[in-house]
Amino acid sequence: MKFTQLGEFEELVLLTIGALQDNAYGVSIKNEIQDKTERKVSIGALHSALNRLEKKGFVNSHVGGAKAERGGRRKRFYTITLIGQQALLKNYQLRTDLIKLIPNISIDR
Amino acid sequence: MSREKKHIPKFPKWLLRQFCRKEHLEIFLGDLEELFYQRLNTLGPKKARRAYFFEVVSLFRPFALRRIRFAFISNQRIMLSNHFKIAFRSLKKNKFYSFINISGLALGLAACLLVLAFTQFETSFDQNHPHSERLFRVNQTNVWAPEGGFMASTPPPLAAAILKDYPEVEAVTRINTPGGRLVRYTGENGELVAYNESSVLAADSNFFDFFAFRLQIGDPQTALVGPNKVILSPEVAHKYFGDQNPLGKTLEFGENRLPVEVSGVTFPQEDNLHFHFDFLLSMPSNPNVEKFDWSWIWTQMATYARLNSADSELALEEKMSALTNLYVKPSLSRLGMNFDDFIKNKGGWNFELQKVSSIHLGSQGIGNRIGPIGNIAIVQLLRVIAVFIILIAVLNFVNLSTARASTRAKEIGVKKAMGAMRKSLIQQFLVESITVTLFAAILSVGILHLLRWTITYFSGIEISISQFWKPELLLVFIPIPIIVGLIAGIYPALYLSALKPMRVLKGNLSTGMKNSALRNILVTAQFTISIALMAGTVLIYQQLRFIENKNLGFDHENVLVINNAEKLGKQIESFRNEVRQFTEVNAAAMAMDMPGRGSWEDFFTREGSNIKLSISQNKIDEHYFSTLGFSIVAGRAFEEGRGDDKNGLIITETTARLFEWENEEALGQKIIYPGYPEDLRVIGVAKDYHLQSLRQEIMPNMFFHLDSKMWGDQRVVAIKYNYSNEDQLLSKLEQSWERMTDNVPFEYSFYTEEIGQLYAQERSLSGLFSIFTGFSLFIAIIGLIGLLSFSTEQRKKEIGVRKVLGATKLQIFTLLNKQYLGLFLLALLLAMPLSWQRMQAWLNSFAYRIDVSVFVYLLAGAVVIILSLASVSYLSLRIASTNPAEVLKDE
Repeated sequence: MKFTQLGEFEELVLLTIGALQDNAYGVSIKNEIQDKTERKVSIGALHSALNRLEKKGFVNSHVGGAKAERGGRRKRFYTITLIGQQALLKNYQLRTDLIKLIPNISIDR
Repeated sequence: MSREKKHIPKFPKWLLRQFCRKEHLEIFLGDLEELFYQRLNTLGPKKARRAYFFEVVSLFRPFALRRIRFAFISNQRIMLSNHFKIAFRSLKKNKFYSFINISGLALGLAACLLVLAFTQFETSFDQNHPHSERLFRVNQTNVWAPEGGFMASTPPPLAAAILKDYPEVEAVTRINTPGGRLVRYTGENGELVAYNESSVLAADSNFFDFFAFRLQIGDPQTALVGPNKVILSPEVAHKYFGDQNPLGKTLEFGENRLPVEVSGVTFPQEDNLHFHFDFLLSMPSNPNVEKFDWSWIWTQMATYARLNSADSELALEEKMSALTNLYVKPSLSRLGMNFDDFIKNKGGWNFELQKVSSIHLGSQGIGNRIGPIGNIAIVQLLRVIAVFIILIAVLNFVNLSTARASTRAKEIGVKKAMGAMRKSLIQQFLVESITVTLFAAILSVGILHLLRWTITYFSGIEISISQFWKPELLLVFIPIPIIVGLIAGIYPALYLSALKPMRVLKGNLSTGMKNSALRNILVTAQFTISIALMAGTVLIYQQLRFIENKNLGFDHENVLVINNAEKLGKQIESFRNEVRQFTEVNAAAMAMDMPGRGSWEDFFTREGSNIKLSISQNKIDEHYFSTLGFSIVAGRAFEEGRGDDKNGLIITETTARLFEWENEEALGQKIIYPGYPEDLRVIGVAKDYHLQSLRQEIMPNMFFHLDSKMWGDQRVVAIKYNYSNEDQLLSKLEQSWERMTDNVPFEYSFYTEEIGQLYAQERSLSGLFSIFTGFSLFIAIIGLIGLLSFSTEQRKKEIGVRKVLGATKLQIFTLLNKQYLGLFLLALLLAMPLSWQRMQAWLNSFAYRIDVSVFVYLLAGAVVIILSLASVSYLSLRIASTNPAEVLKDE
């Protein structure tokens, strides 16, 4: 299989899914991203990213957890696959390697 | 549960069901519903419903869309594609008429879209502040204007008072205007950067809780805490510091070089906010604020309040009337001022709340201390004009399609004979008209950019391009061509589809009186609109000419004003004297200020009477009157070498009249200014002049000597120059300036331009009107050409016969145009009552104005009629001079 790229927003979504663990579905991912980054995420943009991530094999999904506040409809939960985890680690590694090469930069500025 | 559910808007939900794939539908609907109830709690139902809608729109993406299955092809679909085919063919066949329709509608749509973008921008101000629905500005009675009214300037202690006294007020913040400053920065290598900065504000430390400015560098919680901190705009940060990090650097403010630490830099500031700043000082950096902490008359603040609920606005306004007795009166008596005297004619000292989101368009008269305001009148006017222009284009379409019905009659007859239903014919014609408007819509996007450029060029109104592609705007714009197409198409469709097949196939289609009457009405309507707009253009232009040519009482031509001359210090006099020696200079004078820039009012009384007047004062030297051409009606102006002149006064005629003196009688009288150490005596009476724009009446005015002890430290130098080389003069002036100052930037203005700026709004209105009038006239005229070319085509034979029987060219020409001339005159009559009232209302905003005369309409009518006849005369002349043999030979 050809190596698939992870877009900036996709990476953010993937990280959030990992962080939310068992409770990663549309609304919770959206809220989490908005809290952490203060950027507005539309449901459309999120689901389209989730759809791409699933196609690339970075996440798996299953339905369940119907609740009254959703009008009795079910949720689609997402979990990271092994490939997804590797892609995240790879990106992380790349960034730390590169950031070390920049002189005079420190995290606690 | 089910009652709550009603809150979810039905239409977007239905829309989602229509386009979304079955496998995603349940999840999406669930997510949306959950989000909706979340938002219901935080944002309220209105915003939650709006957000729901936009979320649905955001789901309109390829992966979620249902596949269109081509398997089912109904008759409907085939008919529709057939309609389109016929529409294209008929457009291609009648290129000339298609051109008229499409270009007219395209211009109309472009105007419409532009106005839409402009109004969208103008109404989008201040929506994004935190809790903007509960955010208010506190206004108070304008105690500085003789006629009262409200103003947006309030005293420093107001904010604390309302926060303490009223539980409805959740939080308050203030913005102060310390005024422009000279700002310096000395870099690490000793290089000096200095500019005169005009956009300087000061704010309380909770500023960022109130307003939608965000910091890219610095901490919003602490950046404005404590004295001598400043936040910069990114442009200014770059101007002073280049690519260095400005945080913690020190800038020097003002003449005394107050060191101020940079504590933050904002993100680029949004355009649609009611104020912007380059420098935002922390409030204690302006020592005056603390000094006047007790004063309810030092109105140097904009005060903002966040209420605990938007509903408490009215109740709170009511309660705030108590502030006057509680605080204002004691504060005034501390100053030794009589409250009742002061507030006379102003209708009491009141406070009101104004929603921050309504500041931009709702502050006519109130003003905005800290930024420019918009003009709702222009927004409304543009809306009306855009509708008119598109109306003219629609009428063209209706006219041409019904007039040319006979050319389609055979087609309709055959279709009906073959069994076409009326409904399907109506559909066909509507598809045709919508096709035309869709073409026009595409074309209009191109025209739009041309138009935007033209408007900016002629009227100075900038319409931001970023507004055009906002989703909200596109959602509004996309249906417009379709709606316009339907409106334009519906009458022709009904008319054409009602033709009787038997009659038309037999070939005797009477064009009918009824329809030509309708067309006459529509043409009249078009030209009524055009003439009304033209009359508006003429009138605005006349008033503008009147203003520009009116003698203001002084001479502003060829005058150069050097600003900030007080920074020359003691050298100002030697500067003036040096400048007077230049060959390019006729005269030079020093003063505190120039007419037209604002007024410096204070209260004065006279000896022997208790008349108390608020008079605007200026301080001038001995050369001022001669340099600017003021004239004296009694006594004399200040003269050189007379030491006692420094306690002399020159008053204007109006001042003398209000003090109940004849001009001559005023000379030698004593005017009293409380606290002034010496006697002030009138030495001269000057002819009245216009200190302010011609919108205002002439107010009382007087001149102190520059060496008097009256307050006012600002200085300007006014230079009257002759028609020689301006560049050379400027460079000479700058050399002298630099020699006498210590790195103070040299700033000047051409006085005539500055006076012209007072009427910038009128000038932009005039430009705007001319453009839109041109548009409407152009569309109406091409419609007329279309109609006339068609009717001459129809009457070819008739004209041929007339010519054979001996009619002259002139007779034929009159025959063809006579009918329209009557319509034009009718339109002229109708246009008068339509616009008279509006024009009067506009003129009433000027104290000095022209009158609306019939002449305006005659001129407008003449322009419209001559232009129209000139453009159609080519057609009429051509037909009048054809050889009758040509048209009569066949048959």
